[in-house]
Amino acid sequence: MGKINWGRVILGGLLCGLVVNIGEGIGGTIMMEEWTAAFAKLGIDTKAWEQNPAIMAFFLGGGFLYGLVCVWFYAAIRPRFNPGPKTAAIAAVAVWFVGYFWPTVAYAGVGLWPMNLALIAGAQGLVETIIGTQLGAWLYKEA
Amino acid sequence: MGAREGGMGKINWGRVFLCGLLTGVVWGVLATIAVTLVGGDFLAAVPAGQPFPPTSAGLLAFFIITNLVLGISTMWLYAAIRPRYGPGAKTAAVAGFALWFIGSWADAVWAALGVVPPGVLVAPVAASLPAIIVAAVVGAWLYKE
Repeated sequence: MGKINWGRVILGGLLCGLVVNIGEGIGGTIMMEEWTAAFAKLGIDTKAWEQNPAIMAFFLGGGFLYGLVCVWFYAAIRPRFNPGPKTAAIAAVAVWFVGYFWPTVAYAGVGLWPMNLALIAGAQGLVETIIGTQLGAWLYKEA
Repeated sequence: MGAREGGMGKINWGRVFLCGLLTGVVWGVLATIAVTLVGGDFLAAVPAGQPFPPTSAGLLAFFIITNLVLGISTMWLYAAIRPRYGPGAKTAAVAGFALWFIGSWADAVWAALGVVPPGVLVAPVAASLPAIIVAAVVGAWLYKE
């Protein structure tokens, strides 16, 4: 198997990131009341985020970066697990576990927000990560 | 999740687990030293009490388990990318860097939310990079297929 095709990693990663950002937008809208209440307990006003373009850009950029990592990981493990949707799902679950689920649950574990909210967010993150990585992997090709 | 490519065997799950535990222990020790040396501002910014719980045996166990889980994740990652990058310290460093990057991004989001001032996270996050790379190399040194 050849070298990693970085052009395709970027292309697939941006598509994956787009899906993740859309998923975060939908999930954030549905669970807005619960998250607003959770952050209010920390003394943080979530309305301030919406009025701060830097924070919004940070979150959107973060979604695309997350997508790039997912597709890079898919490319990195392809020789081990073979190309295809199953390997894309493995890559998605691995990145989600370390970069999304575990931190969210760990922060709930030290009391930053309720555990049930972390688990709902984790489930939402899993769905968007798997769909995004499947699409990103579909675009990924090697010579 | 078995291996099917030619030239390299299946993932050795027993070794992933054992080497992962070793990676987690080394990482925990080095990260504790690093945070003690350069994380004074961070520790001052997250005092025990609301919203953070006071230090307890349960919280300590939680952090130890977190380190061990992430150590096992690092070794699985190393095993998964071995056919792409080849066995050895360089691949272990790639696995360690990847895990650090993903985890640090979560920390950056935490800071962006305003829970802690972003500036106080820089030193401990930067210091944890060599810690995880050393831990990954130590764990990968014992990994065999």
